[in-house]
Amino acid sequence: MAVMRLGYVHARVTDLDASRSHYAQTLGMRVVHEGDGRLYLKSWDEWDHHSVVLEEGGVGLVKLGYKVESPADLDVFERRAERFGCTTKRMSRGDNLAVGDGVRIVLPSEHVVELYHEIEFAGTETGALNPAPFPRHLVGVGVPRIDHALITAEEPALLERFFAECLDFRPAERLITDHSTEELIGSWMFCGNSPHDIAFIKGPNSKLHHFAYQLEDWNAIRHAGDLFAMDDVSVDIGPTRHGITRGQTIYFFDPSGNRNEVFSGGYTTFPDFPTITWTADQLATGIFYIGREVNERFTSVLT
Amino acid sequence: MNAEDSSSVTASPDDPSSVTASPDDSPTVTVSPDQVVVRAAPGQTIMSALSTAGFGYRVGCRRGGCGVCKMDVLSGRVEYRTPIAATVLDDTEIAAGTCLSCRAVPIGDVVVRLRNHRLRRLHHLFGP
Repeated sequence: MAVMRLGYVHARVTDLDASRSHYAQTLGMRVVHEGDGRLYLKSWDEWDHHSVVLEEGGVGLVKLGYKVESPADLDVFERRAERFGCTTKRMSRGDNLAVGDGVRIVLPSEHVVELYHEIEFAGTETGALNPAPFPRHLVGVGVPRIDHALITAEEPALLERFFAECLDFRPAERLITDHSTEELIGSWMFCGNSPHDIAFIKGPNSKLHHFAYQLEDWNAIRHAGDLFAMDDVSVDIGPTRHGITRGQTIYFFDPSGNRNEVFSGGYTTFPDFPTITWTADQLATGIFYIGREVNERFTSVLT
Repeated sequence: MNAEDSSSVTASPDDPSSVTASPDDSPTVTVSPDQVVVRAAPGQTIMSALSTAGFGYRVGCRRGGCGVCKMDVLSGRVEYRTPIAATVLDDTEIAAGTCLSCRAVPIGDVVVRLRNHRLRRLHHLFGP
């Protein structure tokens, strides 16, 4: 029984055509469906129907979808979330295009997370039989898959407890004020084998900081940066490295101002991974390891 | 941003002066209280005009999503050529003279004022 991964990000955008250009041409996702003011997109190495939904009107996060291992997991996670005090609601097949039954949970941070097990299988673009390492028709960055999301919460400790107690996530890294008070400022939590499948930092409830795509390596990050310059993408910071997660990164903004990230590297986690602690006095090194300076945008720009 | 978007600097915080004659009749953007005046090419946003002229100020996503770059429009009018989220800039703010400088395109000359921070000249490679 487990949550397996971040399956989809559903975000609001102000302009669907500009978003199509960014997500399909610059990032290289494929539009798999459109209608009712929404675009559904998929990356080439993902096998489920879609991983990003863009809805016209506003900015910010509508919801995050996490895929669970078995149908029975939905009952267990639903009961745990209710006992925790969260509002939950059953969702039916068809409520989300191509997605089966599931449970919708309003987190203590007011974000909406949907747990589901079934989603239409589309297959990767290289297939599952004697596959090539990548499809040769890739466009732009050619992102292989989405990886994680970072959200903000007024009470990070409460949200960490929710993900740990209700969904069996584990903290890979925790950012605390100092050793005397140990107040939690941020947590990077995993359900699979990556450094984080969800992360949150202290901030207003219900806001999105960013969602990220995993690229192959540092060279792919640099290549993405070159393409961002060619396509006049608004870059927040990077290429650089995170101290937290060890990942290599560029933060940038979509045409509506939602922050995206391309991310590579990072370590492998297991259930017995010893949690890493960062103290606030080393925050800048933790966030941006090379420059050791957190720009003002990092905490002030949220959608 | 590209060469076609370029605006010309006509004054700087170090050398405030009135707008000099310009070969075009593109709108001017005057930033109060420094009285920096730059020209905005047709369709160019206030942020882009100031940026290409070498000036910086506190900005966020530069794409209309965060509201960090809001300014007060003291005189003149602006328009938006892309949709703006009401959660970022609502009608009440617009009526009160707030603009989102990364998306606001001047219609004619405008005078704007930054909030809680000042314009900075980012370099001295060109301009007066």
